[in-house]
Amino acid sequence: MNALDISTSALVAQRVRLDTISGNLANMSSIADENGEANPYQARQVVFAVDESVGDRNGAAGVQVREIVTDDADPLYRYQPDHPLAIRDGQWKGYVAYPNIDMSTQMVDALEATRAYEANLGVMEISKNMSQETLGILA
Amino acid sequence: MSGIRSIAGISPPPSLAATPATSNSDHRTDAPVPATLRHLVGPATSHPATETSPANAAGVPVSPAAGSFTEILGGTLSDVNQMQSGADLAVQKMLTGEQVSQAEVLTAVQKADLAFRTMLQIRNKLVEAYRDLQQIQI
Repeated sequence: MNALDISTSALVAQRVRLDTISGNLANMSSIADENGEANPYQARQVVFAVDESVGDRNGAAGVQVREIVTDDADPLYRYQPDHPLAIRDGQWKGYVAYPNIDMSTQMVDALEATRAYEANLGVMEISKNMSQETLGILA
Repeated sequence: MSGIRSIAGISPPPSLAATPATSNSDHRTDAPVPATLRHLVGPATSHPATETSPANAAGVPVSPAAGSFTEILGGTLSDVNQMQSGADLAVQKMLTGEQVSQAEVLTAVQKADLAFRTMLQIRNKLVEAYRDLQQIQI
């Protein structure tokens, strides 16, 4: 049953990763924060870590999302002097700061998460079959 | 039968003398079985302390803490029941729109299913052995 738990932890982790990617893509054009201040969205990334609490005594371990970190990439500036959220003064006067999120990178990341999810589903199927086949000993 | 014994961690009876069926030489090969079944069926007819002797044909280590087969089966049953209740609760939460992980819920259901199947197979084996015993002619 440990294999099932380990695979489930991976499924949960990959799901969180996909949620994060969804958030990044959804906020590709968010130039303001939730208070309405001009503050472009920064891409977020999940950090996976070994989870020893899931697994068995022999050393097999599950995975967990340790934290979700925020990129510190410079925003993209677009010249929109009439925009209400345009920067008023300084080097970027008249520019609006947009999130620096690369759609291709995010899509590739999403594909990778999907493939990882499928791989773990495959492992679950195998461990499930192993358990069911083992019951055949008694039959 | 040896399958059930090894699963339950129960040692075979120490001697044929403990079984009533030894009087009939035709069924000598079946003779150890009734004593074993008595042991499986209930603690009321359990063997005396000699049962914990190291004589164990299958080489399965018998822990002194291991209860009777009834206790083990009962424990397994309640474990399986608990897993199924947990899975039911998780499914209910998922269906009523609570924030639960789909993968975790479905894994709980699958684990409960596997546990139930295992329990069912052991029960089938036990009933099969019981039927075999009933057909023994003395």
